[in-house]
Amino acid sequence: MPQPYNTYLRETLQTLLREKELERWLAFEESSLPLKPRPVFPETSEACDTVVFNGFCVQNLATYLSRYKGRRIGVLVKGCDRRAIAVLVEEKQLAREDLFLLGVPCPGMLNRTQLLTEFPGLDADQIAEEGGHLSLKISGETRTLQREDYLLPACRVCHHRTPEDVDALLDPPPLDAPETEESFATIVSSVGEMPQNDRAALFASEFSRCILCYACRNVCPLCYCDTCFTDSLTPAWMTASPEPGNIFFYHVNRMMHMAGRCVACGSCEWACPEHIQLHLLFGKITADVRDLFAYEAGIDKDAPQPLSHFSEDDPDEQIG
Amino acid sequence: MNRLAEHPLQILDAKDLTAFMDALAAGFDLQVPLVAGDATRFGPYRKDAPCDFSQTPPAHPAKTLLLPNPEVLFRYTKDAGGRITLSEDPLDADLRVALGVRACDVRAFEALDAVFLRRGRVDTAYQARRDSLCILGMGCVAPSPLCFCDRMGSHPFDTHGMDALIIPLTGGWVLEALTERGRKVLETAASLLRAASAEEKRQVAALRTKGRERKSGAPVDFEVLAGTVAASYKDPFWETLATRCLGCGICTFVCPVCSCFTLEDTGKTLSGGRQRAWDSCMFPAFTREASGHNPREGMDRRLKQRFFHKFSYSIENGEPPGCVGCGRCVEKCPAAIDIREIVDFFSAEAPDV
Repeated sequence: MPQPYNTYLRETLQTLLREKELERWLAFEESSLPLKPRPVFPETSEACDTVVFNGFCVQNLATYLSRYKGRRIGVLVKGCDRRAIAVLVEEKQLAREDLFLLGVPCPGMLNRTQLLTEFPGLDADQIAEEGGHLSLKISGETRTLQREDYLLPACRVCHHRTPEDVDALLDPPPLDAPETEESFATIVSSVGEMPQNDRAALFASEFSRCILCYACRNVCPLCYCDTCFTDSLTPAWMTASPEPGNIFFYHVNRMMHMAGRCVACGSCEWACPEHIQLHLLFGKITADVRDLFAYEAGIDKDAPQPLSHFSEDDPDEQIG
Repeated sequence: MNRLAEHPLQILDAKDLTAFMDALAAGFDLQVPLVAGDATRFGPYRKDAPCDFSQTPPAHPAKTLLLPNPEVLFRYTKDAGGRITLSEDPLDADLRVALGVRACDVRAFEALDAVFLRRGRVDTAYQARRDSLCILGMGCVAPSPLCFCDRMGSHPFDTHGMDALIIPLTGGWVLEALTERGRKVLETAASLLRAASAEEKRQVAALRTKGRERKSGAPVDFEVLAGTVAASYKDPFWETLATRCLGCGICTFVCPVCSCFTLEDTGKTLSGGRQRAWDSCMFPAFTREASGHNPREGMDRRLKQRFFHKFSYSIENGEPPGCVGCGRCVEKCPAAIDIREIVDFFSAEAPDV
């Protein structure tokens, strides 16, 4: 992202911090690792001076809001952050009026692992995000890559990049990067059309790497239960060891709880130390809920959540 | 361990690597860094399972060789007459050979030894695994930019605790037996090895010098660090760090030193067992008491515990430091919590007298 944009962003945050009497912002700053900005929570104007926004600000900031309940907080929101906040408000976990939402039209987030695998040692100052492409300066030469080829799976199929119903929207957007034509149906059909044995082998292989660190749960803005079913001792639904039974039980149950709520931000897959393709799971529930209920979490704010709402008109042909 | 007086260098040509591993696997339980996704983790060598020695260090720590997750402690069966029989799995006795363990992980074994062997009681299963493990370590020709073992009292070619050292060169591996056990293990593949040439010896010497001279930062003074960390309980530093910590278990699970565990009962009425599984002090349930009270309810308290244990309690108790500088947690933490920044912050502060 060009430096002037970060200057504009910081000035905007500083002005709004003062004018809107915010306790603090939730935003991003660079970390000690290349291409891995980290969340920052500036309370003062000076502290806003480290804030950045670029194509690696993947993490959903709504996750942190439960720690600031009832306080006047400003949040820099991408489309998916905004959607997660909408679900949290709907589920009465947050009060919308406590928050000041500054929207940033998201250009789609980039796959750090993919870039670092292809270009080992790549540093932030070697990569320039320009519209629909990336310019890499590697040992004196410039390489041009299509941004679309390096988007994270969730971002490839996202069509809600610009947050709606925000208190202010950054204008101009940081980048003018086109969306792809793909959707969650693309992901689902690629797996759904596999022979059953191959599909089972794919999931067995992906989840054999799970170490049950629960980063996917903890980074998720919508996993906020005080006691997760994984931690319940009475009854003990599962144990701590990373054995196939525990692993499948955990992931399938988490996804069951996410159906109709998941905003498909992809933070879980991004945080996974094993790069397990969690988008295959959340992509499937997202596509199913959309097909069955014509519902998108955090977008259809006037419609009740399909799986936590009962109506007398619900089809009941399966009930004996 | 019998250290050899002389360490002759032998060469294994790259083309013979598979034959070398086959030869070792024929005689011993050979453990190698197996490819799983884009990571490697130690597991039993199989001809059809790809292994990769280039990850520096392997993404998962070698502690898996000493602390399997889960580890069965005992099993029970109950017969029709209601008689209950308890059984334990046999202890590891046969020699296991771990190929490609890095110096950081071997240093970490010593921290694990302090926990499982030297706190007034001996964990016999751990000891059996430890004693039966022959370590064919590997020097780090290209350490990750996140590694900082040199600051933690080691270096990329540290041979401490190894039975043999492997130094990868372009055309193959240089093997240096360090103990009698290491020499015997390498001998099983003797037909594939030849003596190193003068040029190869020169290359090895140059790599060693470069490795020993690696300086990723100032060496850590653990006594000073222990003092400043111990005095930092109310330092707002921890709260700031905790604001972004997600409380997942990545850092503890990829840490070669972290060894806290939980016990779990598995099985049904007629058969089952008790096993030990890795736990994490980052999880709230780690300290939640039966009453529901949790002395470490807040994230800042859990974070403090982790680093106080690593840098304060371990030193106070005369045990090795809880960090060997492998850099794995730095790489994997989603919230970009960097243990090097913690070390730097408290190394720079004067002890609070």
